[in-house]
Amino acid sequence: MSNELGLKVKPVTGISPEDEARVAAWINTEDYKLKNFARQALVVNPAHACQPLGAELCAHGFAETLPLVHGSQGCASYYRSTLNRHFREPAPAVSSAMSEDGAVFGGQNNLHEALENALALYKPKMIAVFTSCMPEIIGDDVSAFIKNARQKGCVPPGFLVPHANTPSFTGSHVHGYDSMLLAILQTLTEGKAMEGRCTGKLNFLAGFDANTGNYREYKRIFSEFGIPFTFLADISEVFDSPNDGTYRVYPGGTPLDDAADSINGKATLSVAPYATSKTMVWIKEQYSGVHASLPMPLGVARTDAFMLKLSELFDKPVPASLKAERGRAVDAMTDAHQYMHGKRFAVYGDPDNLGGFVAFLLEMGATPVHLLCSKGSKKLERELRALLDGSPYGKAGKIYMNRDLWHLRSLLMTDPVDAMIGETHGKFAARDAKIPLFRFGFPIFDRVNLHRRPIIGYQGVINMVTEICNKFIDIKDETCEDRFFEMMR
Amino acid sequence: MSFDLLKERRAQVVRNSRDAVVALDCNKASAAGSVSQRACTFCGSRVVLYPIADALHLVHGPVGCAAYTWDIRGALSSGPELHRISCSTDMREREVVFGGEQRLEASLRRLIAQHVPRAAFVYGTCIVGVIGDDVPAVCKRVEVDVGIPVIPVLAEGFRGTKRDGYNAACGALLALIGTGDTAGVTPHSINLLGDFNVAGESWIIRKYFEEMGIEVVSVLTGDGRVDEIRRAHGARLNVVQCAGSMTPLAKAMQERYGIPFIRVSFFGIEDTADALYRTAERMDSPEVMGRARALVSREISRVLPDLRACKQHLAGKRAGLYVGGAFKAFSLVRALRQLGVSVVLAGTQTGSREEYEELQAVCDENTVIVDDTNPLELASFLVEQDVDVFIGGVKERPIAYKLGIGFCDHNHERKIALAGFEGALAFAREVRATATSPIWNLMPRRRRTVTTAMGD
Repeated sequence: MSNELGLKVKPVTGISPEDEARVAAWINTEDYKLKNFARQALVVNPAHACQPLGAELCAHGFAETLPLVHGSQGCASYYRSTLNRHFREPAPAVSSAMSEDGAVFGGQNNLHEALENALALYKPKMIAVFTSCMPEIIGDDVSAFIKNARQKGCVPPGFLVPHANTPSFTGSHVHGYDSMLLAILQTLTEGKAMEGRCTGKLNFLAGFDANTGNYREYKRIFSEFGIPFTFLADISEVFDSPNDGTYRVYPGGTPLDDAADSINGKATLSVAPYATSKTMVWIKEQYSGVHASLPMPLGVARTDAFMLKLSELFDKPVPASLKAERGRAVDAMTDAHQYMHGKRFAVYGDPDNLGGFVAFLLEMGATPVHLLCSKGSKKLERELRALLDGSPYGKAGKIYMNRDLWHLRSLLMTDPVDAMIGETHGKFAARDAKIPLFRFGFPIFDRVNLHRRPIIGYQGVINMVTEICNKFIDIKDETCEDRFFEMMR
Repeated sequence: MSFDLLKERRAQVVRNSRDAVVALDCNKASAAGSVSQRACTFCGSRVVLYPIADALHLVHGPVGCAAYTWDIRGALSSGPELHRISCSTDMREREVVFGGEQRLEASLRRLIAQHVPRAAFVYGTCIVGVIGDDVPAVCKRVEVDVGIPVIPVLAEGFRGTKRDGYNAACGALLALIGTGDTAGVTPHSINLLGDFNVAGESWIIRKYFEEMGIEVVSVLTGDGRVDEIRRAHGARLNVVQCAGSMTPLAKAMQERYGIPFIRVSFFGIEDTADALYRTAERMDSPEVMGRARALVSREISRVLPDLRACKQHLAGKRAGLYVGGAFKAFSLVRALRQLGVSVVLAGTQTGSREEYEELQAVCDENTVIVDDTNPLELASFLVEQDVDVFIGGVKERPIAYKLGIGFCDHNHERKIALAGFEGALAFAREVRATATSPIWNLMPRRRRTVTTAMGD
C-alpha cells in the first residue's frame, strides 16, 4: 500500500463491523461477566469521586469560608464544575495553582501566595485548605507551610486556616468530607470548651449529603420538636440560595461562632456513620453532652429510630404533627404498594445511602437484587447482609463491594431487574438495560431541582414512593397496546 | 458590589478604546488564590481527543481524573460509543510508591482485548508526571503485541495551561496521521479541524461540504474515526475551526505533508458563508464554487426572515461573553451584532496576545476585555456593563442567573447545535428566549425592566 506522498503505511486495522457486533453482543453475556469480575487493576465507569471533592462540599457548609485546594489548578476546576452541575449554583473555590516549579521545589510559595491573594480578593473569615494529588506525593508539609505563612505575615494573627490531607489516590469523596469536617471543628473549637457551660442545643451532622431539601427537612423536624440546634456544615443556603439578582460569594453556611460553641452542646447526633466516622470518634472524646450515631433516616423504620432518638436526647415527646406525618407516609405507601411489590431493584451509591435505600425497598415489598458500592467496606457489607437477612424480600439480594458501574452493567444484563436507584452516572447502564433510574444519590447532572426535594424523613418516604410508582405507571401508559390503555391505573 | 482587582490581574483586563490600544497580558498561569474558570492541561488533551469514538481512552491516574472527565463533552457519534466509557487505572498508594507501569500495562491489554478499539490513547495525570512512570515505553510494548496504535498523551495537569494540553493532543493526532492509505482520496478534499460534533455540529458542516462536492477525509475530532484520521494527510486543505486547539496540528501538517490551512468559523451566517466560500476558492473549481454560491444563497434566504424576527426583539440588548478560545469570540461578536446585540464584555480562558489584539479590533468602544477571569470580576463587570444576556460555559451559568441575566451555553455542554446557517438561527432563538424571558421581571434587581417576547 502507498500514497502519493510515498510514505510507508500500515494497513488499516483489521477489525471488521462483524467483530464490533460480536463484541457488542458478547459484553451482555454470562461469559463476559465472569471475565469482567476477574478485573482487578482497572476501573471502568467509576461510581465515586476523589477525596478533595468531599472536602470542598464540607468547607462550603461553613459561613464565610473559602475552600482552598492545595495542588494543581485544574483540580479545583473539576470540583467546582461537579458542584455547579449538580446544584446549578456557583461554587467558588480557589487553588494554590501548583505548576512544575511547585512539583520540584514544593508548594510552599504557591500556598502562601494563594492565601495572601484569596484574603485580599474574597475577604473570607476562614480558609479551609485541603490537598489534591501532587503535594501529597512530593510530601508537602501543609501544617508547617501554614505556620510559616503566619510568621511571614501572609495570614493575619488569629485568622483561621484549618487544613486536611485529602490525597485523591486513596479513599473517596466521603473520606475527604470526614477529614475536612474534623479539621474545621478542631480549629474552630480550640480553647472553646467551657466547664459547666451547656448551649442546650443539638449539634447535628448530616455527612456528605448534597440534597438541600434534606437539610431543610431536618431543620423542620427539629422545629416541630422545639429542639434548638446547630447544623454543622449546613450547605442548604449555600447551594439553594434565593435568586434576588445579587451574586454572593458566601450566601450561607453554619455561623462560625455557633460551630465553635458546639463543643459545649447538649447532644451531638450524626446520621452519617460512614461520612463522619473519624469526626465522631474525636467528638466523643472532646464534646460535652451525649453523642449518638444513627443511619440516615430513609424509610419509615429508620425515620422512627431518628424521631425516638431526638425524643430521648431532649426528653421531649414526638410531636403530634410528626406522628400524623408518619401516618400519612404509611398511607401513601399503602396506596402505592401494589405498583412496587415484588419489583426487582439494583441499588448503588455512597455507604450512608445504600442501607437506607435497601431498608426502604424492603418496607415496600420490593426486592433489592444487586447492591453495589464502589468504595465499600466489610462493615458496610455486614450491615447490608443483616438488612437482607431480616426480610423475606431480601433473599435474592447480592452484595458487591468495591465494584464499578461497568460491573453493574454486567449484572443488569445477566440477571435483569426492573429499576435502579443511584445517581446520574448509572444512566448508561440503565439505558442499555432498558430500565428506569431513580436519582436519589449524588451527583445529579441531568435532571433539574431533584436536589431540592427531600428523601429523608416521612416526607422523604412519600416523595420516593411517589416518584417510583408513578414512573412504573408512566412506563405502562407509554408502552402498553391501545386496548390496555385505560383511564384508571 | 465592590471588589478589588488583584494586582497580578490588572494587566489581564482592559477597557477597549480606539485611541489607546492597551496590550492585554495573557497566556500565563492562573494567579494562585484566585477562582479561575480554567481546567487543567490534562483536561485540554482529553477534550480534544475524547470525540474519537472508536478509540479507547484510558486515564492513567487516580480515579478522580477519569470520573470528572467522563462524558465531559457532548460529542456525538454516529456509530461506536467507546469514547463514552470512562476507564481509569485507579492508581492508589501502592502505585504511588512502587510505580504504576504494571497496572497500566495489564489494564491496557485487558481493555484492548475486550473492546477491540481501533487505537488507544493513554492519558498521563499529575501523579504519573511526578512519580515518573514510563508511559511511552508501556504503550510501545503493548502496541507491538496488539497491532493497533497505542498513543501516550503526556499532558500532566500541572504542566502549564489548558492550551498546553491541546498541543499534547495535536501531538497524539500527528502520531496517527500519515499511517493510513490515501488511495481514493479525491482532489477536492479537506480535513475539518477543531470541530467536536457537540450537539451534532460536525454533521451539519459535513453536509454542506458534501453538497459542494468536497470530500471530508476526516473531522478532527468530531464523530472521529481512527481510520479516517490515519489518512488525513491525503486531503488537499485543512479547514481549521477551533484555532486555539488545532493551529499547532495544522502547522505541523503543513510542514510535514505540505497541506495548507485556512482558519474559519461556522458560527453566524456571515462567518459560515465566508468559510464555505474560502474553502471553495482553494479547490480551484468553478463547479465547487458554483455549488457553494447556490448553497449559501439558498440557506441564507431560508433563515434570514426568522433571524430578522429575532432581531426585532433583541435590538439594543447588551451581551457579555466568556469562552474558551478567542476565535469563537470574534464570531460571536459578529453574530450578535447582526442580531442588533452589542457585546459589552468579552473574555477568553486561553486567548493569545495576537488573538486579543484582533478581539479588541472587532469589539466596540468601551467593551471590557478580560483574560482568565474569575466569578467576582465577572459578576462585577456584568452589573457594571448592564448585560442582558451572557454567553459562556457551565461555571458561568449560575453566576449569570443569580444576577438575573439570561444565559446561553456556548461550550461543551450545549445540547443545541449552533454551527452553520441553521445553527445561527438556533443561536438567535436561544438568545432571544433567554434574554426576553418573563422570569427576569420577577427579580428585584431587574424588576419590570425586561421587554419580554414570545417568539415562535
